[in-house]
Amino acid sequence: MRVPSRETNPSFMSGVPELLLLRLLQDNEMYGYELVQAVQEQTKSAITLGEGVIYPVLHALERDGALTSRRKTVNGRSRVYYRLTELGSQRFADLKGNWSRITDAVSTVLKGAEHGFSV
Amino acid sequence: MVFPFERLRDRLLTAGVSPRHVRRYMAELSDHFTDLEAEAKSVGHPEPAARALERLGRPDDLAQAMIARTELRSWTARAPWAVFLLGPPLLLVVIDLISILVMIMIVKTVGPQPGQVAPSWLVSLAAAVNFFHVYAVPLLLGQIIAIVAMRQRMRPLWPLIGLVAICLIASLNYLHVDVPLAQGQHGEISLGASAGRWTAFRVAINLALTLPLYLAWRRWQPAFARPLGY
Repeated sequence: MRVPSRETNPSFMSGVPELLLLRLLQDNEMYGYELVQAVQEQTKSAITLGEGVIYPVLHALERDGALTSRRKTVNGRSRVYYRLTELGSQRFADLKGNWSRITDAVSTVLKGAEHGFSV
Repeated sequence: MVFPFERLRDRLLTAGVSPRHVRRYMAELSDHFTDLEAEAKSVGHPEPAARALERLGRPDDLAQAMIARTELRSWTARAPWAVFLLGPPLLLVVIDLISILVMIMIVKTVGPQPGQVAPSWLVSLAAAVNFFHVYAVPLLLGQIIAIVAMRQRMRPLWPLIGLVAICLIASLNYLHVDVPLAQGQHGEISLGASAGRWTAFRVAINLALTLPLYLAWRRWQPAFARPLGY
C-alpha cells in the first residue's frame, strides 16, 4: 500500500489494507482488480495500492479463515473472487474497534496540540 | 503482452512460498495485469503494457509482499527434515499397509474356490506385488523426493539426505506375499526389515537410479541459473 507517509513511517499503515479489504468484502464478493479500484474510489485516491501486493494479504486472510475464494467466470473472464466469512466479520469488527480507538486517541492529541497543549 | 512472471515464480518458490499460493498469485497477477493493460488502452495510454506493469508493482515489492507472509510458506520450507526424512518412510509404511489390505481383500473375494486351484493371475499378482516392493517402491519414493524438491526449488541438502535415507530404509524393508494355492491352504504375508548380503547391493542400485536423476534434473533446471527479478 502506498500512501504519502509510507516512506518515512512504513509501520504507520500496518493493518490498514486488511481493514479496507475486509470492509469492502462485507458487501459483495470481489476480485483483486475490483478491490483495488474500490479502495481508490472510496478513499478518493488518498490511498492508492501497489496493486499486486494486495494478493498476499488476501491469501493470508483466506488462510486464517477470514475469507473464502472461488474461481468464477464472468463475461468470458475467469477470476478468483473473495468472500467474507463469519470469522472475517468478527475480525473486521475487532480491527475496526482498534482503529477507532487509535484514531480517536490521535485526534484528541492533535486537538490538544492545536489548543496549546504541551507535553 | 503476456505478464512476465516466470522469474517472480522462481524467486517465490526458492524463498519457500507454498507452490499452491505461488500458482494462484501468478494467476491473479496475470489477470490483474490484463485488466490494467485493458484500462490503459481504453484511455489511450501510449504504452499500456508498461503502464500496467508499473501499476502492478515492482518485482521486488511483489516478491517481498509474499515472502514476508511466513504463514504462506510450504512445509518443505518450514520443516524440510520432516518432509524429506520422515515423510518418505511414512509413505513406505502406508504403501506396505495398502498392499497388504488389497491382497487380503483380493484373496478373500476371488481366492481359490472348493475343488479348484488359485487362478494363475492371482499368483502373478502376488509376484508383481513382491517385485513392486523390492524394485519399484524405492525408486518411486526417490522420485517423489526429487519432484517435491524441484517443485519447491529446494537447496540440495535435505533432499539428498532424504534420498540416501529412503534408499537405505526401502532396501531394508521387505514385503512378501504368497497367496493360498488351493481351498483350505493358508497364504502368507511377511513384512519386516532385514539386512542380508544383497542389501548393500540394493542400496547401491537404488541410489544409482535416483540420485543422478535428481542431480541432473537440478543441474539443468533453468530456474537455478536464472537471476532474480523479471
